[in-house]
Parts: sequence; C-alpha cells; structure tokens
Amino acid sequence: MNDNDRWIVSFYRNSEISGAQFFSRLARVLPAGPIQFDLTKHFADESQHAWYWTKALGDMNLDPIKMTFAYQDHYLEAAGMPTNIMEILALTMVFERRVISQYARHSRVRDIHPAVQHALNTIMEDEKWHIQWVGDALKQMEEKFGAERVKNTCERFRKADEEVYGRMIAEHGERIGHILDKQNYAF
Amino acid sequence: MQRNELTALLAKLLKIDAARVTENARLTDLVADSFVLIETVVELQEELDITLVQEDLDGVVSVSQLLDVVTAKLA
Repeated sequence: MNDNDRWIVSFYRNSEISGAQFFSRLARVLPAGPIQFDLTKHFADESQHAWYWTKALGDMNLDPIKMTFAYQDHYLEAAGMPTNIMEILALTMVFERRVISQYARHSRVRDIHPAVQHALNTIMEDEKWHIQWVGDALKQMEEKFGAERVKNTCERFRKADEEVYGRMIAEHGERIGHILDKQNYAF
Repeated sequence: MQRNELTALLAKLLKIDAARVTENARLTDLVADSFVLIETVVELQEELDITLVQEDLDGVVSVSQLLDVVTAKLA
C-alpha cells in the first residue's frame, strides 16, 4: 500500500460518511412510507460502508486521512441544489451509478490488498440494491412530476456528475490514475 | 399563512433564533452546510403541503426571496 492507496480509501470513507449524513437528515424529515423506509436502510448502509473502509484501513495498519475535498459541495455547485425528494433521488441515482462504476474498476486492479477487495465486493452488492430502490421510487414519482421532468432531471444531474468527476480527476488524477488505467487490471 | 408565521416556521425548522431570520438574511448564512438547507427546504414543503422544483429556487439567496416563492405556491 502506498500513499495513493491510502488516499483513495480515505476518499471512499469520506464519501460514504457524507452520504450517510445526508440521508440521515432526510430520513428524519420525510413522512412515513416506502421512501422513508428504504431511505433509512440506505442511510444505514452508507454508515456501514464508512465502517468497512475504516476497517480496511485498520487492517492495513493505516489511519484515515482527513479529507478536504467535499464532493457534495462540488455537486451542488455544478447541478444546483435539489429541492424536492424526486430531485434528491435523481441526484442519488446518478451518484450511485458513479460509485458502483468506480468501485467496479477498482476491484479489477491487479495486486489489490485483500482488505480493500473485500470491502469493494461487499459494498458493491449493497449498491445494486441502492440503484434498484431509487430507480423504483423515481418511476413511481413520474405520476406526480411527469415522466419527462423526471427524465430531464436525471439527465441534468448526469451532466453535472460528469463535470464534477472530470474536475476530481483533473485535481487528483495522480492519486487515482492507476485505478482508471486498464493496463493495471487483473481481468 | 402570514409572512411572519412563515418566518417563524423557517426559524423553527432551521433550529435557530427567530431574530436571525430577517427578510434580508442570506439563507447560506443561516445554515452550517448545504445539507441543512436541502433538509430545511424539503421539510418546509412537508409542513406546508407544497411542492417546489429546482427552477422555483433559481436565484433565491435571501429569506425574503424564499418567502416570496413559498407565498406564491400557497396562494
């Protein structure tokens, strides 16, 4: 493990903590119902994921790095503030897809530490459910907001995600380049 | 709902002293981070049974502007 590996796992840990904090707030204010139910499970998962990354760092005898890169602030800057639960879930869908794509790439990197591999595999299973429930909820919201608005909202946030991810790569490419380079993949 | 009642509700949701929620106050100055603002806007909609979309809040930076949008939705 080198400094870049420590940085990326700390980055994952920080992102999961931010996600848990955000969903915990929403779980508190949303009315009772299926969305509140699934969102509460989602928030519990994100907390658990933060623990998996903390544990993985511990297993490698490393301490988490305190991160200054606040991904969510960059998101809000690029996409604007989501104002209702449909917009929040649309942003969540885009972000979850980004996360699972990033974790899938990382899991293919050659000579990955077993602790990191274990965390990636475990979290990716949860992420599949996250995408499924959020997708189902967005489908249901078409009735209230209209299919066109839901689709356009997802597309707007997808473009914002590309911008933010591109900015992150530009800023921290030297730290995560090995994960993006297919020549480093074991399969 | 009267404007002063909306201001009081906003202060309650933000969990801050109502005296801080003046018409000219910037929303971002009243919250610790962006998550709190999103949470508050969602909760405000639940409390008032209204729906806001992103375009509604385009350019909204102050309490006064937010109250204008909410009042229009309630009308």
